[in-house]
Amino acid sequence: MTVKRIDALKIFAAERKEELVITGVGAVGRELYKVGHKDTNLYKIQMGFVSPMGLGLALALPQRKVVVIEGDGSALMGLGAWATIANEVPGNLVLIVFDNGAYEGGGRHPTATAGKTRLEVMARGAGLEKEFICADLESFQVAVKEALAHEGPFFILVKVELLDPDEDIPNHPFDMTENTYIFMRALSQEGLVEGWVEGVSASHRPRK
Amino acid sequence: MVMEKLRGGGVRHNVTNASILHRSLKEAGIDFVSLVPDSYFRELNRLLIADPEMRTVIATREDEGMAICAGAYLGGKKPCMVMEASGYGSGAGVLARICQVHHIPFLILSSHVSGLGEMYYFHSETRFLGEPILRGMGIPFVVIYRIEDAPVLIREAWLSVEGQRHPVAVMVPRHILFEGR
Repeated sequence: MTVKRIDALKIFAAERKEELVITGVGAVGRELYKVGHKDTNLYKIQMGFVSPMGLGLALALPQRKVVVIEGDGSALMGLGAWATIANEVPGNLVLIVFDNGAYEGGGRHPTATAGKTRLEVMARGAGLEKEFICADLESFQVAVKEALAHEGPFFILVKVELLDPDEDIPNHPFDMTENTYIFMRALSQEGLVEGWVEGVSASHRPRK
Repeated sequence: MVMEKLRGGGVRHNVTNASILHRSLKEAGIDFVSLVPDSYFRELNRLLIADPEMRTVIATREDEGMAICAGAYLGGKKPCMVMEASGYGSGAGVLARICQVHHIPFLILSSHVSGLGEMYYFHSETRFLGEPILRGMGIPFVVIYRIEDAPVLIREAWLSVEGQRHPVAVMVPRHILFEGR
């Protein structure tokens, strides 16, 4: 059984409160923009680097949950980061991987998970001990509730359908540079870091 | 001067200079480091890992470490990626995408330079990948030729990182990190 990724994202958006979110490239970020945009969403981080960016952010701001959302292709490019995360044990980090078994935006060719590879086994092997393997929306909702409420790090794997190629998911109305500044401004306005100013941002510091 | 023998042949790590580099990073305000261990920075890395005031994350790859630094920057840290110059090869994508497109910067402290004092053929890729990639991508870099310049070069490099929202690399040649030949 698989689910539509956008339906899972709707559930995530409904459960999410103040968590910071970093997504990978492709339709997953556009879908999140469509159903659950906040200024504390950073989109389109290149494949393989979404999880380590989430780790750095989580370590810098331990008082705030950080949620990483990426696909199986992106996760497969950055598997070493899972080992780093498991050993750093950031309690505020949640990894969500939507596994559709394909490079959806790259011609829908199969990823390794369409074959013999099992991401949940690799995550376990890396040392990510708190995991949820979700095959339906109900179990995904339970997983999200648990992960957002408790000390992690958590690994949530969801088997999802490929996006219907005729489905129109509009692109973000901002580029990646602008997204960064919106995100950082939002962190400043939420009191997570000191003011974001032009020039030498010596004041861009974690708020004491 | 405290020196420690690296291996046979009279080549020893310069622990004093490693300490100066460590202190220079702290004086510049660096409070977060990701590193991939390499032989040249062995002593510096020991100091960084042991420093309770420095959040140090050992990454599995240089590009992963760069992404960790980028995330830390977003969270208000002053991050530095500490690595061998061969890491510019794996890290070039992060430098292009996360640093230059997303505008999320960090400092880089890398060992090896293009040729000066490189005594092992197996380090050749550091020569091919280090300065050529930095030049090609328009990333400013300086080389610490004299250890007494380290504090001001690292401090000024960080100021440029913050002010320009752009990565800056500080490169450290063999003669700074080792005694003898």
